Amino acid sequence: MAARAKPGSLINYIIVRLLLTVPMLFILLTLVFILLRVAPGDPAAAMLGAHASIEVIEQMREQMGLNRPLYVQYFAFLGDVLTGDLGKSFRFGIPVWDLIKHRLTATIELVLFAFTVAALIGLAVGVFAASRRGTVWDVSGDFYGILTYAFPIFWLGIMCQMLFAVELGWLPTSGRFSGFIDPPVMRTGLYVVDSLLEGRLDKLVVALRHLIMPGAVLGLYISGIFARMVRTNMLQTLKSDYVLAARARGVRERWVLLRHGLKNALVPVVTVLGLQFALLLGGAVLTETTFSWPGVGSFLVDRLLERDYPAVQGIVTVFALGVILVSILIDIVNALIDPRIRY
Amino acid sequence: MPRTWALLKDELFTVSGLRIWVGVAIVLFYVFVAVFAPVLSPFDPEELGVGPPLALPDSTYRFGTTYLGYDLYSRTIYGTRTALSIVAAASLMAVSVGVPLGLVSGYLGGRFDRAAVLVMDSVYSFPSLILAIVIAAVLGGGMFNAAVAVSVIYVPQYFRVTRNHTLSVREETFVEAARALGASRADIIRRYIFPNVSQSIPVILTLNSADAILTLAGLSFLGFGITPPKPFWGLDISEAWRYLTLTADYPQVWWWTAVPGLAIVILIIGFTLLGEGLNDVLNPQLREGQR
Repeated sequence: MAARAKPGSLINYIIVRLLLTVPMLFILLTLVFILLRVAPGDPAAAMLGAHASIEVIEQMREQMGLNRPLYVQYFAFLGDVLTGDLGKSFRFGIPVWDLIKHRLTATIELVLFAFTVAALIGLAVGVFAASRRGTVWDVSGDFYGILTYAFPIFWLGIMCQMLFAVELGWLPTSGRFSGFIDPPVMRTGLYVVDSLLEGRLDKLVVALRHLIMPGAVLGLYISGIFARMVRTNMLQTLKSDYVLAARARGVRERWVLLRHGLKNALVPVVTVLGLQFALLLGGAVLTETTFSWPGVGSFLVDRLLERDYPAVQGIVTVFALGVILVSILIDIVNALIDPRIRY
Repeated sequence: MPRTWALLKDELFTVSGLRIWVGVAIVLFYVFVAVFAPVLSPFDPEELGVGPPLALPDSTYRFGTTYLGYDLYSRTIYGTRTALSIVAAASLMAVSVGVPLGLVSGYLGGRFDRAAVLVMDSVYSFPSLILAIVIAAVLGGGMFNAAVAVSVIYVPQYFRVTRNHTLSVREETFVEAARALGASRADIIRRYIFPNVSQSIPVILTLNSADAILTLAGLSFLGFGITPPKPFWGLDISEAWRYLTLTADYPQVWWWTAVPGLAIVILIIGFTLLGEGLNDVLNPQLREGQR
């Protein structure tokens, strides 16, 4: 490939990996562009509604640059994205990036919490099932995976709202923070972290109480897949020679499971984590909408319902960039863990 | 297909076999309900006010009624028709694009193959639900558009599996023999490669059906898929949720969300059991680690 410097070095690997994402980024951006241009009818007319006059629509087309030839629009779009310009929302007249900056941190907070939940449950269920292979526990673990997958995430969310928020009154129904106190001073944008930085435990409690239900629902959704992956990898690792050797040396079973089995089973899990990230983002759109969580996902739904296509284009671009970024990060982490992964 | 059946026959009474049976039973039950929906449902699912608003489940309205007085029992029954027909249409579209493309790409190789793989991998890496949402929103609501939106996200999966399988079959001796005898490319793909590759399709088809129903339900929940008054479970949950958020009347209408939700959950379990059971049996090399 392109980088010739030192074959086999980590830096070289990272450079090649970054270069490989260029065509992918290009294709995804093209896809976004095509998607929002194949809309039946005219985006300008669609945004203005049925009662707009032809002059107004024409003016709108000019303002949005829709009267230019398609290829000009396309290169203008690519140029804008590459220079960090995501366009302006039609409805708010504000750059898309300014609109989603804060929402992005809300989504990240939700996703991070969900990932933690998924990892904890997934590891526990997966290791447990693998260590009791072929027993009722193993089958239950398997069924847990199917069940978490089968629950529509928004349905689970609504049922949880009914039970924990309305019936039992333990948690707030929706939203990210209480309207009665000021949200924590923005530092990281993650309310839980910011409350801690500010040293306000009351704010931390409020933030957590809002975060638990949507975060856990989203986490449960992914945890089943997590559990299956951990189980499969554990079983494969436990069959390897070094585990046999450890057992032969008389190492205690629990230690074998955790030290030898789990540690090595985690490497492929990290890889698949990257793939699950896309799934998690999709789930986040549904979760955010169900719980009125002010993130990017619920904002996307909002903008789509209002046919604010410039904003949609910007948001979808951010999602595409996020997916690419995470896949690069995951590969680099993997390369750090496992020195055999090099180009 | 004969090989598929031979593999299946030996496994029908094992754990994998049991999963297949349960899956088949559930899916067949839904198909049965869909076919006989007019006989089974007491009311017109799209007719307003056949009962009082928000009636509790009783002997007349077995699953209760919605705020507008729709009979939830009839709507749940007719929902199977909507779900299964859209899934069938979407699968058909995805297969008829993804499989031929995968065959040609895998057999020809070269630049075309590389370009196709790159495009498909890029689409595959993007969050499928978000892709479906944007497509459905751009195309507008309705059954056909929903099917198109759902089908697009599965094309890369059929493409990948078909292409990878084609790559290995292409090198087999019988393909080489056919080539030596002067068979045309189209003939080789159709007669020699496709029959061998096609056995991997049923597994993805079943698992994708489960996924497609969830995607469709998600779309309808957000307001982009099936449009009212068409009976569909995801739509009923959505309507119930909208009512709930407006009135905060939560515990009083549990059946309105619980029933359509369970209809989805059970069907997904059926498809998943069937798909994974088939996978265990048809891809025995994977079985080692999993079962």
